[in-house]
Order: sequence, then C-alpha cells, then structure tokens
Amino acid sequence: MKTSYTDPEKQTREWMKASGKEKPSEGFTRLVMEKVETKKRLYPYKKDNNVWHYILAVGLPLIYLVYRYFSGSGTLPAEVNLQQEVQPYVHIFQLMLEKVTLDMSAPIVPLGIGAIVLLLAFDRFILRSISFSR
Amino acid sequence: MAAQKDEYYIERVLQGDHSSYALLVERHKDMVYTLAFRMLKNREEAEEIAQDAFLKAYSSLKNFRKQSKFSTWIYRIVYNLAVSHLRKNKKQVQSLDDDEHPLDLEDTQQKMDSLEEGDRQKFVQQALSELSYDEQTIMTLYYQDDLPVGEIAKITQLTESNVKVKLHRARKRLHEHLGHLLKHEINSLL
Repeated sequence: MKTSYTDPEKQTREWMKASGKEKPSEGFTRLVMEKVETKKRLYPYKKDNNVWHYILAVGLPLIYLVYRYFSGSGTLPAEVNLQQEVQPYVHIFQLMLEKVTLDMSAPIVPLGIGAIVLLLAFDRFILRSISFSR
Repeated sequence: MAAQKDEYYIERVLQGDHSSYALLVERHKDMVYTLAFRMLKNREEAEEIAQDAFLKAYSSLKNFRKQSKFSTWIYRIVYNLAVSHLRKNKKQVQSLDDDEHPLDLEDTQQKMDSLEEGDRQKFVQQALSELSYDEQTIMTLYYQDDLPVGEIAKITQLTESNVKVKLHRARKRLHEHLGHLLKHEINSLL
C-alpha cells in the first residue's frame, strides 16, 4: 500500500497496527480462572462482608466477660490485692516508656527520621521520573 | 448474545458470579499479554505476569474505582508488575547509541512499502523490541490500542507532557531502528 511521505504519525500508526497483537497460550483464560478458583478456596472470607468478623472480635470477649461476671467467677478472691498484683507490670511499662522517651530525645532520631523523609522524597520525585524517562 | 460493557461483568462478579470474570479475561488478555511481552521480551515470563495481573485485579475488584476504565486499570496493574519484575531481575534495557545518525523517513517508508505484509510485520516487531520498555508500552497503548495520552499517563504514572515527549522520541527511534534494519537487510541481499 502506497502512502504519502508527509505524515510520520499516520505512518507509525499504520505500521504499529500491522505489527499485530501478541497472543497468549491457548489455555490462558482457563489457567487464570483456575488460579481464581484456588484463591477463592484459600481465602473464602476475604470477599464477604467483614462486619461480622468485627462484631465477633468485639462481641465474643464481651460475652465472655459478661458470663464471668454473672456466674460470679469474675470477682477476685478477698485475699488478692489487685494493686500489689498489678504493680510489677505497671513498673515494667513505666521503665519501657522512660527508655523509649530517652531514645527518642537523642539527636540521631530526628536526624534519622529526616533522612528517611528525604530519601522517600528523592525516590518519589526524582528517581522515579529519571527511571521512567530512560 | 450481545457483548456487554466491562462494568456489567464486574458487577456480576461482585454479586458472586465468578465465571463472568472469564469473559473479562477473554476480552483483555491479548492486550495485557502484548504489554507484558513487549516489556519483558520473554513469552513465559510475560504469560506469568499477565496471569498475575488478572489474579491481582480479581482480588482487588471490590476496590476498583469505576471512574476509570477496566482496561486502563488492568494495563496499569500489568505495567507495574512487569516493571517490578524487570527491576527484580535487573534486566538492562537496550538503547540506541546517541551517535547514530537519524535516517531519512521517506527512504524508510519506501523500503517498507516494497516489502510483503509478513516481512513488514516482522521488521516493525523487531524495531519495536529495540525500544526501552516504557517506550514500547507507550507506543503500543497509543498506536495499537488508540488510548489517549491522558489514559497512558494514568497507566505509566507519568505526566501527560512526559508521555508526549516519550511518544515523540519513541516514534523517532522506531523509525531509526527500522531504517537500520532495512539497510542491513538490503546490504545482505546485495
């Protein structure tokens, strides 16, 4: 087919159309659907409404506590001093909090956070545009 | 049965009719595979990436925002998967040396016109494979799938002006590669 030698745009479209599309293997759709079926079997709940999971996650412990309370087994024996029992755990928590606060106050932390932010910005705005423009 | 729009099948899948997804796969598989193959230049890898793209799209179908077309969305998924695959395998992209001289388009067109249909197709595919993966993607989407620049920008996550620049450069490079290939072919015949 003869073409006018003036329009590279039109010419390119013609050549590209002529080059055709590639074809995947014969059973491509079947293989995809098999994978879809496997995924459905492995994660059957993922596609359902998750609201029941949230209700169960909150509701079950709540039901358990209500049951314990009404059955009388939720109350502590008289000889147990709750404050004394809990004290070591509170102390450990306090120590951990102090350690974290101390670590965070070191100059290396804000510097580190700043460096990460800088690297992320560098990757997002500079590196990606360079790699795509190659 | 008249072919329905993609949205119809997506709705069917979301309502529990998973077999409708096969119709979506059937409709878009060639272009998805073409994109993967042109980027990866390997049939097995392209097939795997194309399948993964459809699987990923299926898993995220609920999150699909219907403001964009399904085709744009699936092309974007396959493009991202192929880019990740290329980066993971550290494949180098071939590029034309900068000192190569631009060739006469009219001469290339005349030589192309003198070829048989099959040979012409072979040369275009060969020249296309010499381009970088993003250039091939842009060329394929723009010239073969007739997507507008805005849609291509969404798929490749580039700006529209960047897509236009790349398109112009890729077209020029395709012509140059074609010119060189045809020159070598004619020289080998003489």
